[in-house]
Amino acid sequence: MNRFAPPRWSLIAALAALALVAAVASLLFGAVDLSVARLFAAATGSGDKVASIILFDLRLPRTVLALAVGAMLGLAGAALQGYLRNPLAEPSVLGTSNAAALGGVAAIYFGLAEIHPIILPLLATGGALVSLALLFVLAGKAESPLTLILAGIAVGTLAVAGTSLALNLSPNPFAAMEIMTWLLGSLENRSFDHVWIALPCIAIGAAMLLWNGRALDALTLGEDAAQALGTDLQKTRLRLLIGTAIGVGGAVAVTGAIGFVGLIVPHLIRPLTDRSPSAILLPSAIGGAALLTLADLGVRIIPTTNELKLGVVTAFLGVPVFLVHLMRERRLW
Amino acid sequence: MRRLGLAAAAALLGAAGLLWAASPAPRAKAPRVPQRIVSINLCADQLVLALADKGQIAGLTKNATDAEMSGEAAKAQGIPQLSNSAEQILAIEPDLIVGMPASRSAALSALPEQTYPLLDLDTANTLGGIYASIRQTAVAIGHPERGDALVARMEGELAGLPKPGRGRVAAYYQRRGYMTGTGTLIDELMMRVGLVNLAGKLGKPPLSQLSIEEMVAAQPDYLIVESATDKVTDQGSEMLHHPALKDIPRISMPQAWTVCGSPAYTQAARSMAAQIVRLDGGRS
Amino acid sequence: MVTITLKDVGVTLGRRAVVHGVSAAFGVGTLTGIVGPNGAGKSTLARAMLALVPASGTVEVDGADVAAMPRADLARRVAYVPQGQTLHWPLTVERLVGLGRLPHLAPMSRIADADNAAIERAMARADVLDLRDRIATELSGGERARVLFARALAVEAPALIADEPLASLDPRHQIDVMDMLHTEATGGGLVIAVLHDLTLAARYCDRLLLIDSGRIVADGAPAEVLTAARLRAVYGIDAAVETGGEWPTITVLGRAGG
Repeated sequence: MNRFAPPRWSLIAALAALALVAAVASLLFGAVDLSVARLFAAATGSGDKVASIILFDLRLPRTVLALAVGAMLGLAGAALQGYLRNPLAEPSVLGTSNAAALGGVAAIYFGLAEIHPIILPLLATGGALVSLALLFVLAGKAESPLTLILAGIAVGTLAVAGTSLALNLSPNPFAAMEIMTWLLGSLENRSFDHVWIALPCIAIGAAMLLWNGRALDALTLGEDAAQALGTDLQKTRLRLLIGTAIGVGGAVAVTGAIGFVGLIVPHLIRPLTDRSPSAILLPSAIGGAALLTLADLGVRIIPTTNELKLGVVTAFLGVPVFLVHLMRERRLW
Repeated sequence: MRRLGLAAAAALLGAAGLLWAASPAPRAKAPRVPQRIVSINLCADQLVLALADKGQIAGLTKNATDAEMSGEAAKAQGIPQLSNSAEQILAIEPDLIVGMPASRSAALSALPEQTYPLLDLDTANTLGGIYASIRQTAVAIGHPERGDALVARMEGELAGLPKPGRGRVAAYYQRRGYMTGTGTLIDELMMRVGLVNLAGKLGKPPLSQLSIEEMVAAQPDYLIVESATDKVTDQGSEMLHHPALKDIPRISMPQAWTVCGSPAYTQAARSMAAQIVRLDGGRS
Repeated sequence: MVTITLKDVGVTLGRRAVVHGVSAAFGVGTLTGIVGPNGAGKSTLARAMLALVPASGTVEVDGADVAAMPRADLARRVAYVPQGQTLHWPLTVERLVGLGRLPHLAPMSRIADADNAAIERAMARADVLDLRDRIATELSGGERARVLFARALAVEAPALIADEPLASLDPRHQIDVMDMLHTEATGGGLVIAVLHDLTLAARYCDRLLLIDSGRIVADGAPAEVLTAARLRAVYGIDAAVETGGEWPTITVLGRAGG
């Protein structure tokens, strides 16, 4: 059977170009219609005040975050799928994103985030870490994808319940609306303050995950064979756990729990590679950046009275992927 | 023949009796000076607290002592707070219930046989409406002269108020980007100090949402925000602190003065005017 | 040249001692078969040799304790074909065989020419060159066994341990795999195979280790190890052992009487 797999570098270049186009579009579109000429003038420093503020204070941080968070979620999905040998694994399905959201909610609504800005990503990372550890304990060695997904549902539901409880207990009377934005995710109204919180976490997390390419490949043959090929499974698991927790934690602290990016992107990219886990990592990161930026663009372009939540768009894209997997035979991925 | 007549009479009497039982009993009339006044609405709390003696008040709402939301919070200390429960109302046996309106209260509809005297107040969207509510309440609680006195005092406080707004544009921006439009109390406050409501300029309804981008593009001269949002406690309030808005001067008002049509209106107007003057001084 | 030495090796899984006091030495040029009944501890012993389970006693490769050796070093000296034909992702055969080069790759480097040559050699020796572009998960059992064997050969380690390499293969493919193992041994490698099939073990192995209940019951040439008496004691079967030909043939007659 012949398989179309373009050379690695051309795939990465194509995805990077897509991400770039999405980023530029994200800078050009928004609630206020600004002509390209005005934006260009603002970008080169000679623009009017309104265009400059909108471009640099609003659209630029939003775009940077869409790229960074999308990259992190795509990469985390690819890495988790490789490690758990399961094409349905990704941070939101496994409940990690919701647990990170719980950490974020606890930081903000109980006033802890005011003590120091680092407390927010720290608690979000902590939430993610606890959920991943719990997941590994419950189903890390399970052969069946079903066990893993069930454990993920359990962990995720627990986190959502915890979030609702936290918001109920908080002195904030607007809790219900806040729950929704945290659990569905949004990039609206983000500023560079948020970028400085999320970007270092994402950089660290991404580095730790990208490091694992070889180990993930070796795991194709199972844990014993992988160890016999020289892989240190303990270190790999630790890097994966901590890398995902920090990266996803930092991202969720700023955007809320955006789901399904880590599920959709590797699934779309896998057929274009040689299907080994390591080959999917970097392309998934870049593809995730492009996907989330485009989804965020969609959120701004689709006319609705209330802001369409980002998580809703990604869910609509992701559910069909889930269904396709359910219906196809295992062999065909 | 006689039996028929007796039967007809009995039937008539029976029907009359049924009719009499089915019709709602007329509401009792309130005593001239009620002694067990219950307020079931925060805004009604304000009026009752401002006009009645403390000993006359038997129950207020839960938010009455919250300084953020209740202008007369200090006066409300020590008065029982009710939680929308029919049982509590029954236990008190009020001789006047004040609400906005009172007759549609959920707690009261659980007690259809009770006939407590009610006072239905209208929500006040204008100063005139506030004055009317004050007079209505004063009469109901048995001190009509206090109502007149309060209105006179308020008129006096507003008489000498300057109009530092000078036609400049302001937006009342709430958490999550909600903006208050025309036909509201806020709108009237703005006009009183000489400001133009951005929502009116943009043709927006009484409540709408404006994204930060749109606010930046509109570049109002002032942002009026609730003082509770000065602290970032959630995403809704975080939005109001976005760097893109940092160049727009801010006027801060406690919700307690603006959410209800109450005597606090004059404090709100004076504070707004004073802040405009202060911001102008800083800018020139 | 490589040697593997076991000194009083024991493995406890859970609360059960699965392997006790096993001592043996292995050298190049020999195909050693580890045989014994189900649950005797054969696979566990093989895994202990690769430090895949914690073990008491010492396992030494070239005199160095495997427990103290970095995994990559051990990986370069001993190649492993695990039980089952686990394959999680649909890689091409060539890519799969290429995984065998992982122990030799420096941390940030990619596959080099030397590695490609080794991959070619491995595929040739396992006779899977014509399968190189096929998807490994779509191969038949026999083809897959050869491909996984090629993957182990690609490591080009001096020693090879195979755990039940004949499982679910038809007789023709079983012979293919045994031939490959034997060729490796005669070519100067140290080869150890855990086997179920006594006939094939007797036919191809130069040396047999008979394990029962975690202990070595016999160690030597197949003819010495596989006697009727031993088979009765260890397997609980009556068997006729013919030692006339090149290798002993075993015919199982039935359960041991009583």
